[in-house]
Amino acid sequence: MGKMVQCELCPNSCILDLNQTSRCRARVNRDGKLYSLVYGKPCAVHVDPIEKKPFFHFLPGTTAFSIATAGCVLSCKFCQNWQISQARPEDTDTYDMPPGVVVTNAIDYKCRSIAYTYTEPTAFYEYMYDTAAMARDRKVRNAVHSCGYINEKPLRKLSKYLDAADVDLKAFTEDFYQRICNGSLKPVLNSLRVLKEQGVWLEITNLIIPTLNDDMKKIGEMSRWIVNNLGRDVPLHFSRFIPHYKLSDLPPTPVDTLSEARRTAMDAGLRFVYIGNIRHDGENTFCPRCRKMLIERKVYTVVQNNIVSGKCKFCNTTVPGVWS
Amino acid sequence: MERRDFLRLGLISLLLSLFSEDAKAEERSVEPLKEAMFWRSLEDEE
Repeated sequence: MGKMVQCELCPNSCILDLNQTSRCRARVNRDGKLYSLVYGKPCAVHVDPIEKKPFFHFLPGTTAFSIATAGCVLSCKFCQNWQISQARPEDTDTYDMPPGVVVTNAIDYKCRSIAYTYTEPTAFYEYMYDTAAMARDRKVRNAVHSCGYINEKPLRKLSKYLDAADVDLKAFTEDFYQRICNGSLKPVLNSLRVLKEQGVWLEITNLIIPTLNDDMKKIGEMSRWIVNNLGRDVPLHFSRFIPHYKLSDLPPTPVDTLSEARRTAMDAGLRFVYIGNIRHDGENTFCPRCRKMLIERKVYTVVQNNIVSGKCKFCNTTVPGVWS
Repeated sequence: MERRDFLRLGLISLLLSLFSEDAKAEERSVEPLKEAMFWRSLEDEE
């Protein structure tokens, strides 16, 4: 068998011959050992509002030092960042930015957190892990936006340094994951359970794509699963699809569909359901008890915040989240 | 050219080759890759 190796990071479980790269394009078998091709080499580095990730219950109104390298464990036909997620590391322009420099930059730019985002952070696991450990030492928070397509063992190891995770729950059918993303749903659901169990602040994003995952019955089913397995306080973001990449023939998500999805999820018991990628009343946070507006947002800007010490300033109800 | 000149040239070439050093290509430092976490070798299997 020679010097073949098997990657055990994600459910793809790539078996690699000498010099072969993994499906995520970020790992290579060199002389019988597996190496990361993207460690310390981000291709995207930005200072973003945390709301852009999107996180609505995690340090609102702050900025996140956001990084990504090339590569992704899935290949979604609607990917918004396919130019880097589906690229080989050598085909992207990269910065030399070892973990310590990421943390120093985050502090220098007055970012409260580092966000591992844009592509799939699992593809740059080692880089993220080392950066997150250093950030924790220097009191900078760690937030990840992930598809959740990762094996349990590495996720548990990473979780001890994670403060928040926004996981894309792309649909609630195996068929969608297989046909549209080249993956599967089950490991994603498991990751959500693990993150919750590990005490990582969790938010979920669901991009609604016309004709592919806009069935309200399924959206209701997904919402009930969240309530029963993760709790009713997990914020759910319904995001508007814009025609893109391999799905450019589909129309944008109608606003009515997003509103109906929001109603369906709230009827299922979820208390914080948002609408994103479009201006809508559903981008604000309301107190689940007195119904007054707690956080008013305009796109990614917080216009007003009426949460004081984690409580509604009008009726003193505790609002779940990480507020300071 | 006379036979003596050939011999002289041959001798000079021999001396030069004896005392010369091999030219070396400039060595550039290549950053080593980071070993990945979570993988296993299949070398001993099958």
